[in-house]
Amino acid sequence: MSVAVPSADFRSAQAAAADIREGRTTARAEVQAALARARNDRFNAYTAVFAERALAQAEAIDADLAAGRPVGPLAGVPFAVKNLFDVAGQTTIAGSKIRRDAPPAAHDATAVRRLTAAGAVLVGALNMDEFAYGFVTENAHDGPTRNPHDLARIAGGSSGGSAAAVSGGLVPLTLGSDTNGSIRIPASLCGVFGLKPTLGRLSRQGAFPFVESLDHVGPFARSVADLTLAYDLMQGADPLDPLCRRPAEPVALRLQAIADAPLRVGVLGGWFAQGAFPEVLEALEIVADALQARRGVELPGAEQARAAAFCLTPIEAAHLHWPDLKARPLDYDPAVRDRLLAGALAPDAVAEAAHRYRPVFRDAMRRVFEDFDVLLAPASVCPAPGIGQATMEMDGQPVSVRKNLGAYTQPISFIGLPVVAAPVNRPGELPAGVQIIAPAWREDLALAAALRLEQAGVAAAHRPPEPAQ
Amino acid sequence: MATDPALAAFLALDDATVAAYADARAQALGLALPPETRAGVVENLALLRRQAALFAADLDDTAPPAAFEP
Repeated sequence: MSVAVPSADFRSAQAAAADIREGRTTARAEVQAALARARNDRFNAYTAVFAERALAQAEAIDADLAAGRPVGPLAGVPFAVKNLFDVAGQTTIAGSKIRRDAPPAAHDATAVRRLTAAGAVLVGALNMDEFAYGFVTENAHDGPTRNPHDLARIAGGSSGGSAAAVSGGLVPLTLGSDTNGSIRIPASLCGVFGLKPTLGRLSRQGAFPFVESLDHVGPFARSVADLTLAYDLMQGADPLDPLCRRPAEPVALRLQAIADAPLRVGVLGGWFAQGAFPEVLEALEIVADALQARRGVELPGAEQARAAAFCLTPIEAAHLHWPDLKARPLDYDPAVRDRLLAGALAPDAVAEAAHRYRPVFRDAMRRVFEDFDVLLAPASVCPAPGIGQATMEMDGQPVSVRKNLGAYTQPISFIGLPVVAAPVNRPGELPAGVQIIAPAWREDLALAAALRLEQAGVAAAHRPPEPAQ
Repeated sequence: MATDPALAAFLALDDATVAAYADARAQALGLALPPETRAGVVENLALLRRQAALFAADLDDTAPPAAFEP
């Protein structure tokens, strides 16, 4: 007899872990249900499902529990990763056609390995913009990922599958990467929480690189507690990533105390207020009111920082892709190819200038943080555009969706600061998220502000509409 | 002030001269631009030039960039 599996499960990762630990269900049943949801994915979030590996791990966890052996805090909880993370025995395609013939990865990426060590069970790989270059997840090879809140709209990108899978209740936890906004924008458009940590905080080993100077990895979840736990479990120095040198500084046990203490909050003005859609500004105001934030904080150089990130990206990425750009340019997604080729033709001196601008802008930000604990800014210019929509209007002018969705995220990742993207609780509306930006290495402050908003009912990953029967 | 000759030359382009620059650079680098990519590449290169002008023109480029710490 087959048992119908719900098309979505909106329990938190920690609630599912407790259900397994306390015997109300088994790891195998949880994983089987997640695999069934992955195979019936309405959002085109998944590009691969790892049933054999997942069921083997689930059975091992059930055996440990039956024998009374200790298990990790996420034992039996299914999770999935953007398809640029190495998974042992699988080819890391990074959203591309070009890498489909590459040999399988020999080992799991460090982030995958650390979550697996905590008992989480990897069930599949998720759709993305090719080589993480984009904000839309309209992948030329794997198709577009659909936004669970409106299937005609994009999920955002480049970690669009990661955001949609969490938003749509396919899994409670996913991993993505963020070079210019690729965690924060899809989290915002799909209405879930996302964390882009400080550059160098979480190991990027085994994550296919895009722009090594700017690449980060981080989690998506439907609650701040799950986001924080996943972050804590992935922390710690990794000799395989030269930027990842810090020992773990776990946050979960001290988060409530930080959230209960006074926080000095500012709202970035200037560049971060230009061109935003009314829905986005309304969401920002709701959050600013809840945190009693000071408005109109000036951050000198933000437009220049965005421009520098915009230039550094294709030039540095083109170096990585140079052999394939020369040998097989037409195998790239056209939306990615033309930008990489332009980056290959631009002089390296532009990238060097962008690197020179990083400490200039970082120091300007440090001066702003002398007066604030966290800063707020919109995560995206607008709620989710339609699939296939090429342009949108900013300040009365039609501009490219692909090139402008990241206008507010790029300056922040350019200097590697930690950001929580928090979904603003506006039931019945398309999701819109807010960036909670903290000083370097102070993820705890951004997570604490997000927790305060969640506990006040201001931030929430509310459920998308039920599918029509 | 940009003193690097390659950077100064790139910043001195205008949108009308980017296409010729792209062709010359592609030839110098041994990169064959497929015809269906050329218009998109030129458009993106022009955008890179305009963006670079926002931050690169006034930077002191005499010292090498240092390793970045957030």
